[in-house]
Amino acid sequence: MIKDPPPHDRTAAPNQPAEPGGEPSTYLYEPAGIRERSGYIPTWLKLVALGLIVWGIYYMIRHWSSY
Amino acid sequence: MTDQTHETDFVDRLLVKAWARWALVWLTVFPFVGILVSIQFHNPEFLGGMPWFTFGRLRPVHTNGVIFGSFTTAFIALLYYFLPRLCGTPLYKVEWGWGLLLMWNAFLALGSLSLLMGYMIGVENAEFEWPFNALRYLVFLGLTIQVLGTIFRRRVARFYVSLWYTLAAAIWTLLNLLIGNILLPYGEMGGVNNAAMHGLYIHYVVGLWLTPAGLATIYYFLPLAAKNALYSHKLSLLGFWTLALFYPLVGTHHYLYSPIPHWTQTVSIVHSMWMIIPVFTVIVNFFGTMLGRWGAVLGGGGADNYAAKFLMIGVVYYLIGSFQGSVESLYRFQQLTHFNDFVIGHAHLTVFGAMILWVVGGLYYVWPRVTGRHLWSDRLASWHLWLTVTGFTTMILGLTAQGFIQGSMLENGADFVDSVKAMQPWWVARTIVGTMMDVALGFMAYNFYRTVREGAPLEAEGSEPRPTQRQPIAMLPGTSWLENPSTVGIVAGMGFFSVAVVLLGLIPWLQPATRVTTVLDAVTDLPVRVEDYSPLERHGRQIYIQDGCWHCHSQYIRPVTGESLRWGPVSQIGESAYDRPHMFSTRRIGPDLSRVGRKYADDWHIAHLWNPSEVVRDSIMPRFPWLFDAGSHEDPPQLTEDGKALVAYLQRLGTSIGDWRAGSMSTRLSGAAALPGTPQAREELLSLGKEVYERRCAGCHGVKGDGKGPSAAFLNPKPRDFTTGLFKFRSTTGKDSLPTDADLYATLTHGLWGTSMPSMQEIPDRQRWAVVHYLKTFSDRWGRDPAGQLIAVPPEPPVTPASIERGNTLFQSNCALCHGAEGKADGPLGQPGLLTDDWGNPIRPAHLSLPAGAQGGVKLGHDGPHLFQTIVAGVGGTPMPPFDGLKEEAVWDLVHYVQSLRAEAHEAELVAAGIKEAERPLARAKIWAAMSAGADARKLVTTAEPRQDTVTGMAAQPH
Repeated sequence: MIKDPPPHDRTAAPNQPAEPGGEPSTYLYEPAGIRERSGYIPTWLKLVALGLIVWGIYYMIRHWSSY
Repeated sequence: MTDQTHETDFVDRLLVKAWARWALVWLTVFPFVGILVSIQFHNPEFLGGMPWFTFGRLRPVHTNGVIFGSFTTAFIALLYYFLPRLCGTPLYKVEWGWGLLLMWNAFLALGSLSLLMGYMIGVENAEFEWPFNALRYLVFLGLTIQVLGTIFRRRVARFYVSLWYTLAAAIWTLLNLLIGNILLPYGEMGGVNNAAMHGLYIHYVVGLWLTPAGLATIYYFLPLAAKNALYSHKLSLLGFWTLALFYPLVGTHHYLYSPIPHWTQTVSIVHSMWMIIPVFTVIVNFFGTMLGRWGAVLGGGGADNYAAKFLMIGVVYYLIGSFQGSVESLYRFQQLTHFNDFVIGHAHLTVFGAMILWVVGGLYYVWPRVTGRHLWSDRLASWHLWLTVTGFTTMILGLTAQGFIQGSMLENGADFVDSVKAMQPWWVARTIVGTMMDVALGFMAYNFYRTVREGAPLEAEGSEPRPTQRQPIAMLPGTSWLENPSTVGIVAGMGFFSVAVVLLGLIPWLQPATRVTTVLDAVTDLPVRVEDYSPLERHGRQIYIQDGCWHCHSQYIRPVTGESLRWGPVSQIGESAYDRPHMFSTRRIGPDLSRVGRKYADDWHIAHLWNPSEVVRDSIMPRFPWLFDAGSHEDPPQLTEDGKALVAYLQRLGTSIGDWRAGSMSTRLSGAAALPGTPQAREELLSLGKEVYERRCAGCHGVKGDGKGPSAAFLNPKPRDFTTGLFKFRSTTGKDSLPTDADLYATLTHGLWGTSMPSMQEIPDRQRWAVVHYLKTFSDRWGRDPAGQLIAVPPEPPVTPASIERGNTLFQSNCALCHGAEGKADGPLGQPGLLTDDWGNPIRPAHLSLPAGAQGGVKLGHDGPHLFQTIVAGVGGTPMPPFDGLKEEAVWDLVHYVQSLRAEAHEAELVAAGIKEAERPLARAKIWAAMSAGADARKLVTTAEPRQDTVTGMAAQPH
């Protein structure tokens, strides 16, 4: 039998913001049954992205027309 | 809750099941073709001799089949499942699904058949001819209409991430197929611009179809199969939009170091590295989704847990493969890994490891739900999983190692054939583990088959209430304009794509420098015109395409890893101006062919096409007997018109830059490896010589050295019979004198131009010396006859009009009878059938004004000391006698005259190729400077036309 256990994130009712006008912490896609957390972007990932962008700009300037 | 009740509301289960059934078929069939291809690497004779199953035709069946058959069929099945459920409404025009399935299978089956029959366009991953492309396009168009129709009629307010990827992928692919199927094969773009655009196309197939479709799949099924909430909506947004922004700009990294404008390569490198951002982002999202569920999933059975397992294994491979893709685009990394099995490993990691495993995971989730049955066997699913993981991981480790090994070998100057031979054991392993992977897919198909017949019925459970009213499609809290369908479709789907195509495809094409039809002549550095292909050469090019030669041979030489030493000067932009589509290729299973023209005689190509391993024992090139008509009992098979055209095309390649080969190899090679004194060392050297000889020489000269190797029947002039101890080119006096070891070494290293004796410069020095000593064992002359006396070559006097004129006089009285008055091999005795060598084989005198490598031309070039020795010593075993009675000055005069014949012809070739009248003196000076140490560019005049004295600053040194 295929059962769906409760979703991992049970802190808030789906599709309901914690505060009026705020963002719901999880969203339930009906009728697919998929729950999605609002979530966040880890700081380390932001730093990786920033580092790559800076490197890329430097690289393009440095190697625009030569190896 | 369960979700199986909803598909009865929105999902056409029969349609999904039908597509999924065919997905199972294609998931098994097209990887199986890959096994056949893999076997041919280590057993080239496998399925040999049959044009339908030659490597060059099977490979595109495998690659296109896996992308469009295995993956796409499964994805469409899954799409028909998740699209209605995410939109809360039945699929738009659901009835089309059946017609599309029919058309899709017709495209796959008939298209694959057409490739096997040789109907092929020379665009990698777009090889199908137009009827099949049209069929495919109609299916994608129908699918896109269904996607758009369903999305814009949806009843679910929020637009889930799977739909972003699906919508964008559909639009990207509709646009990309126009590039691959119309612009590349039929457009005006040629050469480097065609390659640049193809770089975009080929990566859009992967990055803008497979990847977004795969991500749409896992974004949908992972939260459901793992039974957990998707980790982060913000990560979904970041991942999608960075992929949409960066991926369209990575394509040119396929052709780094090529003549494609450098700045486009730089842009592609940077964006390839920036692809780390979306890859890391989605990986974090997927791993985050598994938080708290690892134990349940890994330890659990049943279809959903196996679905989650396959999805997450795919995530791991996606991380590795994508990171590879980014770093592969870096110049230094690409020097080592491009063209070899590292790239094949990367392609398998992303296409099979990620995309195929993701749709496999999706099928495990969907199949019980559309059949109403529990999965028949967890054990079989477990076998599927572990065979896949074991086999595939081994394959990837092997292919990655192969890439580094072969790349390192070539970087360190190894012979190309040796580098291919070193791959053999790895290729055997690949076949074994590849078979495991395909068997595993067969297990899945069988499991699904038994599920339908014997799986326990699936219980219906309580369900979420179905929305009865359309939800307001409005901005919800926590959502942004970045996730509404119009933004996704217009900005990401059409906008970014168009910007990338304009930036990396159209702008380079608009630059006049990329559309030149001139190149710099290799000897004079003057711009010369590139001629379009002749009808015969163009026909040959078509044969080259239809038999898939370009799947193994590249056609551009990079300025790195010694490629210019191995294959010739670095490729220039104008050389490929008439190549539509381009033939740069992305793989080197065989050597680069950019400059194969005039490297071998036509006869060598004929023998090689008939049976490559008889010419080069370690070659893994397939045979091409369908390019031959059967010969008579005595005569060897003869080329068909197709075969002749192919040889004409090959002989044309790389010759646009002029007589570059003339300066590529000296005959004045120093150094000597005397046969070692100790018996053991002597034995070792001769043993090495025997091994090398049998690998590289016996195909023509025979194992016994008697000139009767298996390929000899095709060759004219015939391979030399070493048992007689007679050699053509010697630095020793007297008719048929014994050559020095250095003479044999020079011939071996240089090769004999215009004949089937190729240069052996690529093989290690010690191996060449070993062969020299070994082939001396075939004749007892070395033990019997005295060593020849060395010809003393005096310092070369200056080349002057007077010396050339004196040489002319001598030539007419001593040489013209055979060589003709103008050295064109048309003297009274030089006519066909009149002259024979010492074995009675018909031969012709050398045509002295032909460029290096041209059939019938001089065999060791126009170098002064070499010509001096040849005149004095004669040509052994031929009617060319030694002219050892001439004074030294007279011999030099003759040398200068012979050189002037080539110089004048060379100048005429340049004039015909479009050099300006004012450039002729400069051209003449450079030609002479390259050919003769005695030519002073500032004083030289030729017999053809007095030289201007205005040219200054020219070095009178040879290259």
